[in-house]
Parts: sequence; structure tokens; C-alpha cells
Amino acid sequence: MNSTLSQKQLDMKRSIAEFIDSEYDQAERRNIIASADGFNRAHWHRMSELGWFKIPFNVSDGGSGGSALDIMILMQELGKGLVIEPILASQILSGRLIAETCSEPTKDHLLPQIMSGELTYASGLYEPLGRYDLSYVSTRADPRRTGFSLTGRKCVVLNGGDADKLLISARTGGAENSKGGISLFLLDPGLKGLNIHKYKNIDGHCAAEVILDGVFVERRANIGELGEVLPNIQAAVDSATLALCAEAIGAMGELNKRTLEHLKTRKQFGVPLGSFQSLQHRMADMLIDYEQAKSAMLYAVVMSDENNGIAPKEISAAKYRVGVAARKIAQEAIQLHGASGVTDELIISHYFKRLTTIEAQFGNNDFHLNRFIELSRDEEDSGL
Amino acid sequence: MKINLTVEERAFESGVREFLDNKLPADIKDKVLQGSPLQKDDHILWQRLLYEQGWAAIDWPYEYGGTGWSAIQKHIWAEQSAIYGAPEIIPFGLDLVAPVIYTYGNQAQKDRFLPDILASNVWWCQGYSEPAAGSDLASLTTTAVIDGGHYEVSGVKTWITYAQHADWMFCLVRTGPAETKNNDALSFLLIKMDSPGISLTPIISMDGAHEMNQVRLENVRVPIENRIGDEGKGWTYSKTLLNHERAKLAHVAISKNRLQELKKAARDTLTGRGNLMDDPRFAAKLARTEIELTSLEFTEFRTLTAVSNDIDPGPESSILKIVGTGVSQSIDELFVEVAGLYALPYIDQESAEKYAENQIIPKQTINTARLYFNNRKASLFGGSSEIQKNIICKNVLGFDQSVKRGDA
Repeated sequence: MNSTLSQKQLDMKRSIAEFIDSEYDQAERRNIIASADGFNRAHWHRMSELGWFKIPFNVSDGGSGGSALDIMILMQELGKGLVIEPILASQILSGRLIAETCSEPTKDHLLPQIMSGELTYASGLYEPLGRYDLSYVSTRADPRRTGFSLTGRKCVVLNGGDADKLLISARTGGAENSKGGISLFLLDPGLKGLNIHKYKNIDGHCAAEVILDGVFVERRANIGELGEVLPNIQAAVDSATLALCAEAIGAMGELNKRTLEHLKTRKQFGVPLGSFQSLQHRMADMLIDYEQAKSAMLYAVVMSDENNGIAPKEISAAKYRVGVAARKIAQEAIQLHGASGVTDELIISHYFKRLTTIEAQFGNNDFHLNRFIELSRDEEDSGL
Repeated sequence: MKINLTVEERAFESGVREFLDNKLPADIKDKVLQGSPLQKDDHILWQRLLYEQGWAAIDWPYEYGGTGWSAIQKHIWAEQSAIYGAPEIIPFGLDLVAPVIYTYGNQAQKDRFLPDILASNVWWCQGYSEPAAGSDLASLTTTAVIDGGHYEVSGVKTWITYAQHADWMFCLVRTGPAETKNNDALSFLLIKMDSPGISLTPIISMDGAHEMNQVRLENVRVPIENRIGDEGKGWTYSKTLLNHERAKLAHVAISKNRLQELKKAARDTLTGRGNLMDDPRFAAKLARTEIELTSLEFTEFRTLTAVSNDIDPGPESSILKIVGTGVSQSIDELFVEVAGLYALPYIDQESAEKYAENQIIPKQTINTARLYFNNRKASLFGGSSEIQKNIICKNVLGFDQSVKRGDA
């Protein structure tokens, strides 16, 4: 049960924090959000130089980390700095998906481009009628003589409009929501029949609706085992979910810090707001929520690392607990900042929007609470 | 809340429905039901239609152009308006400044201002808050100094909703020394927005909307006859009327309608094992909100009845504001939950229409997050929930508050 950071991890954490403090310019972040662009190339290049993109991968895959704890360190700092670059979509979700799914030669071919940041990836795994169910795949991959023809749609695909490569789950067998028959395909965004509608999400991150209308791909576009990749997809999504929890913790910590500062400095009725006991207690509740959420996240990290990355129940518990805290803390941060909290100018509202987004991604609070209940029941049934 | 209506009330309800059927412009109705932002012209058009019908000023005394409706009639009106998607009245003229004018103004002021307010010929904004005086109005520093037949007003007012549309602003300004007690130092002035010395800075809110503004006043000359009532009594005047105003901030009818829409949306949302209403966790949240809302509706009804019988609703109206904003914000959150991933796309209105038309992004979720974000202000504006609780503590519960608060 150890979540202590090694010297190497501490150095990494410090280096990331330093970059975000000194070079990650919030004015530039606002420019990115206001523009059609998904991210700043110069930032992206520096992040690559600093080695961030290797953190989610094992040394054996050419990476520098690969543990949930490593990913947590990175994501927590990104959360503090509200980093807009598509690391979650590209390195974490798509990178983990490739690492989980592909054979060695394919990995050796694809992962270096992700770890260098040369190419960015997006993964389309959710569909409009499937809500958060990864096994709901109505997108079909029909066999053709030399490959497959893909038809269907994927919704709110992170980085989907900017990615150099797309990973798409599609059905090669089974009914619409059966667990078997799901396959993964690697697509170039320029393919005929592929319509990508790009937009910004509420938090300024880019996303897209990806509509496939008889997109033909060669047989080699299929990666991972044909019809058998749902468990790999689930594992990659769990890993990304946990990463997102860590990001949320980073963001919440920062919100609490800023709110506390506000309560101590803003004067009304001739005294600092923080001199009112009712407000002190609310700040105390925010701290309690933060610490409980952080513990849920850390526990999932430790369990994940002790069980070869498999800790679905703990990850659902973490996502739920973090989601509850995120909503509460984000709302309270605004309320305690008063009217300035709802302005675009003050960064508080940007944290609010990021946390709102995080709560809705990879399953919202109810989804993970339900999943936790089911997994607990399964455990009891199997006598564990 | 189900009310057994009398024959007369039923007839009144049909009349209201007939009016809304015939007069509410379809494009405005669509925007309201869709949660899309309304333009200034939309509001003015609707308020003029109400004026022509004689329904612009529901709560004004009959002699000034009010309706004289009973509590039940007002309830019917609010409910039907919400169901039909009629815009809410922009409160600054009709609901906020007018009562101060007809209660405390002189005859010349009534004659000059009330007809234009009633007909929505002028747009008003409210200049209360200042950068250093948000909840604490006692520390207002905008000063008005007499110079011949004028006040010279200087200071900064902030969080002013729709100042960019306004022809006039009603303002609380300091006419007494800074150390004087609140209720003896503030005066109620009406200021023309095109007066020399007024400048405006937009404040963009987190949903991207421009509703709020900062208004700077530099030696703005305001004729003394634009002061309502006595000098130094401004705070007393506005405070008395706030009880009435707060009673309306519960937005019960709108929340009721949205709750029905929410149920519909939840039923239409598939989860892989039925629809979202089949999920007991979600259903329970919805039920809790509904119970709270129904109770609130009855609390509001009790208040409306008191008002109709000329009884001051008193500080209990703070309860309506606190619970009302809480319920409406819960509904916002549940809509976000229902939308799932589709709460996330942030698309301008024009593209949204196109996306919806081409079935790229569903229409019903386009404004979901925007509304959630926009409505966070509800618990801050019009006296924050914290201030409302202070009012309850002091004026209802009789707690001795050792620290002086601006709501006193």
C-alpha cells in the first residue's frame, strides 16, 4: 500500500511543475481556446523535449515509466496548470490502447511516434446511443476482399478533429451490445467516406463527431485480435479514467488554494471573508472532499500498480468519489469567489469547466457508482 | 401542486392560453424552450405585446396599470407562460425601479417615468454593486455631491446586467459621509446612460455571454429632481421592496416546466439497459428534486397569498430565493447528467442549428452546459444565498449578529 514517490519521480514532478509555472503561459492558453487550433506546437515540442510523452509507457516499450503512479504525477501537474494540449487523448488513451492491444512489431512501429509527439492520436470508442457503454458498438466493419468497410459513428472524440491517426472500435461480429465481436482499427483522417466534424468542448479542448460512411481500410488497419479487443479497450479506458482522476485532483487542489487565498484577502463588512465561521466551515468541507477524493484516487493507483494495471472496481470508486468532490469544489469555489467567480476573466471558471468536463468523461458519477456496485456483486458471487 | 380551479379561474386560464397561442411569436418561443439566448429586440417585442394586452405589470397597483390579479391568477399566468415558453420579464424597469417610483416618487416622477416603463419604451439597469462592495452594500463608495441644481456622481458600479442595452440606470449612491450608517447615507438616483462621463466595460461570463458590465461614472451630472424620495433614504427604499422582489426569484413555474422536460429527456436517453428513468439512482435524484420543488411551490403560494392580502411577505421571502435557486441549479445539473458526453460540445448558436439539422449533434443538448454555467450566478445575484441566510438569521430567527452586515 505504498504511494511514496521515488527520487526519479520527485524529479520528474518538479520538472513538470517548473515548466507549467514558468513557461506555460495562461494568456497563450486563452489564445488557443479562442482559435480553431487544438494546441500550441511550441508547447507540444517542449513537452516532448522534457520527456513527458514517454511517461505513460513502460521501459520495455521504449518509455520512461508506465505505472499508474507515473501517469498520476504527470496528470496531477497538468490539472494544476489547466494544460490544454491533447496528452490525455493522444499519449494516455490512444497510447495505452496501442500498448494494451498491439503485438510487439506494431507497438514498435506506432509507439515511438506517440512518445516523440510527432503524431497525435484520437480514439473513438463511444457512440451516441451507447452512452458510456464501451461494448455498445453499432459501427460495423464489414469484410471486403482485401480489408474492411467501416460504417457508423463515434461521438465526442477527444482530439478527433486534429489527430494524425484515429483508433476506432467497430463490430466484426455479434449483436449491437454484445461483448464479443469488437475490433479496433487504425485510420488516417483523410480516408474517403470519413467525415470529421470538429468543435471545441466547453473546457476549450478539441473534440469531434466522427462519421464513417463506407470507409475502406486495408486488412492491416485492424490492430489487436479480431473481435476480441473489448477487454483491452476497457483496460486502456480504465487507465485513462484514473489519469483523469489525477488531473481532477490537481485542478481541485489549485481551486482550493485559490479560494482559500480569496477568503483570506477579500474584505467585506470591514473584515476578511475568512473571518466568518460559516465560510471557514465550507472551506473545511472543500478540503475534506479533496482529501477523500485524493485518497480514493491514490488507492486506485496503488491497486492498479499492484495488479498489473487491473483495478476496475477501485478505479470506478475513484472516478465516482473524484466526480462528487469535483462538482462540489468547483461550485463552492465559484460561490465563495462571488460574482467574479462566474466571469471568463478569472481562471476559477476555467477550472470549473474543466472539472465539469472531467465528470462527464469515461462515465459520470452514476455510471461509476453502478459499475462499482456490479463489480462488488461479481466479487461476492465469485467468493473473493 | 394541483389546484382545484373555480369556474372563473378556469375561464381565466383559457384566456391566458388563448393569448399565448395567438400572440407569442414562434421564434421567441423556440428560443426560450431551447434555452437559446434572447436578443434585446425579442424582450422588447414580447413586453410590448404584454403591454397592449394590459399584462405587462402583473404586480403593480391597479391604478398605475397593474392587473389586480389574485394570487391564483398570478400563479396560472406564471405556469402557462413557462409551459408556452414566454420570456421572463426583464425585471429592472417593471419589477425593480417602478415600485420604488410609484411608492416613494413624487407625482412629477410618476408621470415622467411610469408610462415609459409600462410600455417598455425604455430599458433600465441596476447600479448597486461595486468592485469593493459586492454583498456588503454598506461600503458603497460611489459618491454624489450637490453642485447647484445637480448631483455630481463619481464611482464605479459593477455586475450590471444589460447595461449595454440600457437607457437609464437606477443607482444607490453615497450622499453622506463614508462613516455614516448605511441607511442614512445612500440615496436613490435615476441616471441617464448617455450622460457625459459614463463609460462601460463589458464583462464576459463563463458561458461566453455578454450580460454583465462595469459602469464607470466620472463627474456625471444628474439633476436633483432625478432623486427618488429623500436624500439618505435610498437603502431603506430599495430594501423594503427587495422582499417583494425576492419572492419572485424562486422561478417555480419555470423549474416545473423544466422538470417535465428533464423527465422526457431522461426517458429518451438509452443506457444499454432501458432508459435513464429505469436507473434507480437517477430516478431518486429526480424525485428528490421534484419533492423539493412541489414544497417550494406551496411555500411560494403562501407568500403570494400574503402579498395579495397586502401583507408584507417579510424576510421569509429569502427562503424562496435560496430554495428556488437551489432547485433550478439542481435541474441544470441533472440536465448535464442526462446529456452525458453530449453536454460537452460547445458550439455557437448558428453552427448548432446546422449541426442539429444535419443530425451531427442532437439539438436538445446544445445549450445544456451553457445553461448550467450561466445559472451559477443565480445564487450570487439579487443577494447571494449567504446574504439571504444572514437576513433569516437576523430578521426571522432574531440572532444577534455581532458583525455588522450590509443587509440590515
